[in-house]
Amino acid sequence: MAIVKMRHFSLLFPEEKKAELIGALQRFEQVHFHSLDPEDEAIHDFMRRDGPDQTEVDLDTEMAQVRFALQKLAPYDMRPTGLKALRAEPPTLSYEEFCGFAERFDRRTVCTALKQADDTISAMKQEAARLQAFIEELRVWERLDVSTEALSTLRTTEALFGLVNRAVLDGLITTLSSHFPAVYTEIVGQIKEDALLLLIIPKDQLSPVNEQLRALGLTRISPGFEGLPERLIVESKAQLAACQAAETEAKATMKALAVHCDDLRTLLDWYETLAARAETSRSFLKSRSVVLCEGWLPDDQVDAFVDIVTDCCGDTCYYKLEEVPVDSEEVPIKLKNNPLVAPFESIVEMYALPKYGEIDPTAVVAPFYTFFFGLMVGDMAYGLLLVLGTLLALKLFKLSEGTKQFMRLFMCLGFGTLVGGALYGGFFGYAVFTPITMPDGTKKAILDSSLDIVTMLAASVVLGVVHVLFGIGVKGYMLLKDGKPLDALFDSVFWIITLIGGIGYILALSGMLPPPYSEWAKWAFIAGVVGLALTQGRSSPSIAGKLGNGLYAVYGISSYVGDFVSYTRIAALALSGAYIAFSFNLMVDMFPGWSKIVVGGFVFIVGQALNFGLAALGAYVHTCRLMYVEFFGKFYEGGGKPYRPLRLINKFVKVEK
Amino acid sequence: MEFFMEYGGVILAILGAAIAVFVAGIGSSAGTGMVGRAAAGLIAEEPEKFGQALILQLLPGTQGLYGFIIGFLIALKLVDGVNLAQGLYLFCAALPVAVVGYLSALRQAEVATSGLQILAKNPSHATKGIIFAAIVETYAILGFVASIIMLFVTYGSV
Repeated sequence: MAIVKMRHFSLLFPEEKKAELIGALQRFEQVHFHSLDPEDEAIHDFMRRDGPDQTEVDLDTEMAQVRFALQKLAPYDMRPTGLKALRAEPPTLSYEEFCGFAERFDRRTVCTALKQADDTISAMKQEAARLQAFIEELRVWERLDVSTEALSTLRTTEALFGLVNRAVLDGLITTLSSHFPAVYTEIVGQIKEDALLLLIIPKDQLSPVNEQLRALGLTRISPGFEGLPERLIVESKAQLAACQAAETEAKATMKALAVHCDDLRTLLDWYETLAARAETSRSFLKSRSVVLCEGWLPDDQVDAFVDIVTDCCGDTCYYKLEEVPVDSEEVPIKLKNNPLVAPFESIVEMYALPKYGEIDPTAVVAPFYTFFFGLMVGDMAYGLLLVLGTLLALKLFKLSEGTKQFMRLFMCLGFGTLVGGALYGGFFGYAVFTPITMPDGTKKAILDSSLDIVTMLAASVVLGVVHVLFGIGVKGYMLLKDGKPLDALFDSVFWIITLIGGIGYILALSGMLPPPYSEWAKWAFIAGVVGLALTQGRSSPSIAGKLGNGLYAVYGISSYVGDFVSYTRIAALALSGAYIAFSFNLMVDMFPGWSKIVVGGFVFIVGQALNFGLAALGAYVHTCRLMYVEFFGKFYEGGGKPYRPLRLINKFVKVEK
Repeated sequence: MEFFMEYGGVILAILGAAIAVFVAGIGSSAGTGMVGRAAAGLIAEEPEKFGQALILQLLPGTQGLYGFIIGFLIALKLVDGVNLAQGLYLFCAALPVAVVGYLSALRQAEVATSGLQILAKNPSHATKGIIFAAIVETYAILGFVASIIMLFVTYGSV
């Protein structure tokens, strides 16, 4: 339950050891390096920024190639998808196997073969499309039973092709045969509404015939091929079949190459691991032969760190370990909590990590969060679904550590929801748990969602008061821990006295608090207000300023009213969830006879699933809001930097260390 | 006039039920439509983000559901018969969910559309876009609960 204590280190080592040492520290996965600036200090005068060594592999190009290969192989990849993927074990390697993977796996052969197959596929596709278009074009000329070459060798006559609308076709033929009987006319095909004509004209009649044809509406066209159409079609079809065969063959090659998908992914992980190393070395400084690096590591890992460094460099290195001052702004923050509250770290992280000198609020967030969430969802069945669903997911699926924590978070919230549901007695919107007997003999839940709405709203506000006062209490605790008891008294205890006294006084005015307590509340309120007015402006230099700021702080009480009212959202979300479930159940009951089971069952499942999703999302968001605004506002500042140690990158494989 | 005294209650109540359903429904359909259009553009490029884009699209859809449920519950009140005063009361009970539902669905759709930007550019923080949009939902829930309270807590006193 805390922020992990960190140690700062500076390390000087010979440059030839760099690759080995940085590899060992990456495997260690505990060291967070920080960037050194060569312009920073006088001692760095003779040093300049380090960077990645020129290695034999150009990482960026290699990674791009591997990614390209994976992308091209994706349609043939036999990796399980969907639910199966969640159950599948990733390929597992030892650390040594992982490091040597790039040498053992012949990526060039795979990539070259893949590139070839891919090029073939796209070339063949293009060629096939061209051939198909050509065949389509030839089909128009299919009835032409003479080759275009033969026509071009005519000596005394000339052959020409033309298009004419079919409506005027008969007229054209009649006119031609009556005026120029020597002209040969044949219909060889048609394009849409036009007939395609072959005309063979004696050369001496060429110009009058042409004139006549133009007048009759004939457009001349020339064929886009050479030879006999029928034969050309047969040839093209043969070529097309060859293209398609080549494409199929290339696809088979791709499919055969797809067995390397896992290897390629492993390689990608390895390259990413190398890239992380190269990136880290940019934060180092170096002279001609020595490299300097600095960073942090958890206090309990110091011994292991020293072992690694001395194993690697023997006595050729120099290191210095320092305590980190509590007010350090630079130190990275790692949270460590017991397994029960650790899932709630994500809630705190989403707002902001604490600073090194602050406390980690996870442990106080966890119980309130669980309870508030449970009260907002407030249905035993939904609680049961959450607990069982997350339990099954954790048992059956291979999940990443982050997803596992998320599942554990919602399992915890599921238990809260069971408690909240028991209070309202709801199970899928049906009142099931009704332990209280009414005066007229009917039974009801502890908090009935139609009879006790006002009680629910009031209870929400009471929870709000407890939560906010707890937050102010935590602030007092933090001030005490920092050795500022007077500040704890002024900024925490005075506020608590004022708020409790004030609430008591209001209750007394409405007759709900009997004397002598009403008198105590009144005086506590007055004492608190006076105390606040006198102390809250203490940072001002002048007396008038102190008093003015003090009085202004007292005015801040009004903001607490807003804070408390904000908690009524707990009751509002509970009511909305309960009534949506109730309405769907009413609808189910309206179906007569058998349809109640079939159609009604469908309405029930869809409606309840919708309400469950809405209620869970709403409760998650609104509990976060209550934590961030009303609760954290009282004591928590945050702004720490996250702890990001240099790690092996294992997106696709599991490396045993 | 006599006709109005006899049937006015039923007419007003059923008008209220209709308004709750269609006003909130118009808001939701406009809202989900707006986010859906923007999401389609994103999914064309990155189809694997469908799940989270769908959640963002669904968020402005809940107001229509709230309106539908209030309309349904008002219609159920007609079974016992309603006089003119009760009818007018039921009409008014429909207004919070209808008006707040309509406007909040539009505003929520704007936030959800901006949330798609987070999903597109920095998908690891896409949840935050969902949270921003869900905050707008608060006021639709409050309107819904106000209508519920009018229907179930104070209806007996009319």
